[in-house]
Amino acid sequence: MKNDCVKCFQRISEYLDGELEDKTCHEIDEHLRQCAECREYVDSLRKTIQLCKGTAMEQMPIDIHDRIRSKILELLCM
Amino acid sequence: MDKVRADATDHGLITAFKAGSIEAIDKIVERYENPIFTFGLKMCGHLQDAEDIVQETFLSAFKYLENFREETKLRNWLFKIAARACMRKRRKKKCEPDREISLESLIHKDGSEGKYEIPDWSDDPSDNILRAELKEVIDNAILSLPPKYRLVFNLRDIEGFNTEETAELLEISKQSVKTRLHRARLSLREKIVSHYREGKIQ
Ligand SMILES: [Zn+2]
Repeated sequence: MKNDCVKCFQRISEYLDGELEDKTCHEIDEHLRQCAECREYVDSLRKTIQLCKGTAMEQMPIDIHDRIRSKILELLCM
Repeated sequence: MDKVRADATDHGLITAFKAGSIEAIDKIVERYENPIFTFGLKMCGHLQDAEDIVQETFLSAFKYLENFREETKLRNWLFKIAARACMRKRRKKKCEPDREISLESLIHKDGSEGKYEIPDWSDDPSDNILRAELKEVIDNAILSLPPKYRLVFNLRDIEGFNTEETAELLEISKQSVKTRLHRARLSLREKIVSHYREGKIQ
């Protein structure tokens, strides 16, 4: 892997999260314009994150809710 | 309280709780049970463990809520308790070594990979079977992360805490949050790509 690619690879997450300072962000933008491989890699990482977020929330079963609720009320002596 | 912009609903519920309202207890539970349950399940992988995490979190929270001064957001405070509960549970089980993920192991090699095949969650949301399979692939991939990476990933990308909040919650540096999140994401990408490349699902 080329040096610029390694640099890009190390910072993709911060890049995607908008956590880089302007200068570094521009450097990566510039590199991505020139490097198809990194561009594809960044896209695939972005997609991975979206995918994980898309599967995120679970619904707690109602029986668990009921059990926990009565334990709380018991604790608070109600 | 001016440093942390308190959530108005939470503030109302906490005040009502302190005044003895049972309704406030129910509302707080309803508001946070699913996110904490999600966190517990994605950390531990078992329904029973997730239930334990939610229960420990709420029991501890309501025990101390009387004295809660709202110096942090209620949500952050609850997740701090939940994260501790997860770590305690892990220590008790002693079966999961907290290995490191090295960046070198994840570096993509020139041209060797070809096209990255990551499925698109929005491709066909009506296909429930495909969706369920995809969810299983992802859940397993998350569960296979070493615990300290999984912890950061779940807080950042699943629960939506920012870098600073996550650092505060886990009492680690912002840089550690960034490093762990990055490696967790790269590792998940790797697992998902290799799963689909091997064609386990088509
Ligand atoms: Zn490159």
